[in-house]
Amino acid sequence: MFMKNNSDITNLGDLLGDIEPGKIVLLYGPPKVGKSIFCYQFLYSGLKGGEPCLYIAADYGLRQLEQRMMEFNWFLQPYIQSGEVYIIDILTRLAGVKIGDSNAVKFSSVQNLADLMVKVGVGTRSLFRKSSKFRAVLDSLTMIFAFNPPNLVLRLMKAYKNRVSEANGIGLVVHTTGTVEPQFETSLMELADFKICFDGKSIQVESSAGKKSAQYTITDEGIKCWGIE
Amino acid sequence: MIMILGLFDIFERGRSLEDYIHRLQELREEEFDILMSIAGYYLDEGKHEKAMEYLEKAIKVAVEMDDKELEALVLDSMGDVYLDKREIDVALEYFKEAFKLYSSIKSPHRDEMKDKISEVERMKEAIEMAELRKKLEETPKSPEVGRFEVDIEDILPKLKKLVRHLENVSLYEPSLESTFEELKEALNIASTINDKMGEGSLLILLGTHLFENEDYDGAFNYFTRAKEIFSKIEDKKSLGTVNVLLGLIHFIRGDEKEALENFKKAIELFKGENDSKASELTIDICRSLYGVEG
Amino acid sequence: MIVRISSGIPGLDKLIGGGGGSLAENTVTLIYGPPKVGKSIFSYQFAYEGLVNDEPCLYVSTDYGLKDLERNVANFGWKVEEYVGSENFYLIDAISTISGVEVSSTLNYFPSSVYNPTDIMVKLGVAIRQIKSKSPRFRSVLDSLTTLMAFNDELLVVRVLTIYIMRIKESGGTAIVTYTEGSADSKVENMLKAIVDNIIHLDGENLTVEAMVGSGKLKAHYNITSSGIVVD
Repeated sequence: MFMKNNSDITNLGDLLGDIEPGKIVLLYGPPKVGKSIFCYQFLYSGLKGGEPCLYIAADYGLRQLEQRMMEFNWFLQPYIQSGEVYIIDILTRLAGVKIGDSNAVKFSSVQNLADLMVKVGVGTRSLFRKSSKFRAVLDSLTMIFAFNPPNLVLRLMKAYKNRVSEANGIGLVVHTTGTVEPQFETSLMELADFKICFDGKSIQVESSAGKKSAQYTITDEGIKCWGIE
Repeated sequence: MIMILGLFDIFERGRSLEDYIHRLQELREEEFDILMSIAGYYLDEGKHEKAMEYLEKAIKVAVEMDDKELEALVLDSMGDVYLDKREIDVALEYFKEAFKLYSSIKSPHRDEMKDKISEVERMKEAIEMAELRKKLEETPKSPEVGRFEVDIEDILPKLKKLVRHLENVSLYEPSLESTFEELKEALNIASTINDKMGEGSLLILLGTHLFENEDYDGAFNYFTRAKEIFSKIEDKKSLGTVNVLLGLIHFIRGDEKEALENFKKAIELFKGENDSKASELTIDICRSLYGVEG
Repeated sequence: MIVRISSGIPGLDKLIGGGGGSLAENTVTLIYGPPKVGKSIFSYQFAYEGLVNDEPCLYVSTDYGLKDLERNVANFGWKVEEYVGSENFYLIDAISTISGVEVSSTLNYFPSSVYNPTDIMVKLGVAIRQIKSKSPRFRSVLDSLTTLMAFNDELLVVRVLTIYIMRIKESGGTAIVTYTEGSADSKVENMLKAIVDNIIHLDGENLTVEAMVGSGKLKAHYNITSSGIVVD
């Protein structure tokens, strides 16, 4: 699904190959290795290529998300205006700010997973109407784990997976390694169809089709990788 | 020699005087013992007034003998008579007097007395609870359904005292005077960070706020939520307090049976936690409600 | 374009931003390391740098009460009246009440308790509202997470930190939070590192920038002098 000739995503397309619609991709690794930047890149390249996107902002509120994407010259605002991106912000309410929903931006709460799932349903249906294929990003599970019992988070993930594959989207889910008990990490791994591991230096990709790896670095144009094996 | 004779003389005369005094002392002691024995005899028979009559005589003897030890013993026995009569407050007064005397002469009985006093105080509490329970159960059912006459002005300060007695609530001491909206904001934070203790405590404060404004249904709602939380985290003192608050609203609504259940549950919980202060405050609230004289 | 503000640590701005400031504005930096390596001193310098430039500072202190802070600050030769005594210095003192010191709140002094994280967050909200009416930007310090964790469930403290971060960032603040390495469960430590923007490690000899918005890993030697931390 990554466009091979898109200069914004140097070689990532080669590395990831064609991820089939209806699949869940788990992106994992320790803190501060570029997982969120990868998400922004995945989101932005999709939007530029005409694929709408559902984005669950669970590490930064919408304002911070826009700000951080701007550091890479990726501007989200036009896509919010056009409704091509559907954002569910589950953190800004924690700031005690009173803000209302708009067509493309919904506010939910990190500790209210039922409400989140309802909004995911509304979002996927609305994007499905726009395009036969779309992307869905959940960045990340870290705070969701901090605010909810891990079993509940796993149930959320199962429901999320069903929702995304029903709507024929590609779902990218981010998890910070070592933030929950190993058995929950194992369950997450089992749930994913496609796994990407970032460790700060290299990217490991694992799917039913086999394994690939590459070196990567973070530049002011996003993640660049080389030496694919 | 003269010196020796003189001394001998004094000694001779002195001995006979000493002897008299000594004998008088012996007689008084004997009289004291007899008076005490008679009093004990009457006490065993349950004849409290007779027992007291002889103890009064005994105390006069003790005073004449200027023997503080014996005087304290009589006071202690007088206390026993009142204890037997179930007049515990009076009994305690006597025991405390005895304790003071024993202390003033640094008697070894001092510590014994101290133990006795604290034991009787515990007994007093238990009896009060039992009596209150009995009285609560005996209170006749009101024939009419509806609200009971409740003197809110009288209840409110007692209720606040009980609420503030909870350490987890008094942590919010400055917030106690906060506005309703501020408390709600705090509740929102507590529930978001899953601070169960904070959430429950704030629910109590919010409910108390509404109670003060006579919104009993609103208050009941908050107290019920607090009850759920404190049951879950097994905080017995807080749970007891919530039971009193809920009981109070049941009472106001005229549901006396539920009210009673709640008060009983509260007292049981406080007892289990050895929180005599909370029991006392609850009993005080119940007294006001049921018009039971202290 | 990343706006960087001065850390107040001599040498650090040069190391990270080439001299024009170091900490990315409107982000949260975790300062962590073993005990007694200068995490609190780092906090003092960061706060002071803002105060001398007329930026308000919201300081959440769990280890030192008002009086202790005044003394600590005076020890580094800073004028108390320009620092802790300044009307721009907002202090949430979560320790004095539990050590039995009689305190009462003022416009910029908020007594709270480490036992009561909800109350700390309530006071944070009140203080931020006041600061925002004064200045669009401000600094904040939370020193330390370790003490909060000693008195509360560790995950609860992570949630408190999440709220803290959201509130500070949404209001235009830049913050640092301190944590003693190894004092919490490793899962919790990973979470802390995940939810902050930047990470600086101190070990008594070297300062390591493990993560910083818009820059790579960096390392330099540092000393604690009579006027605070100095990076070579």
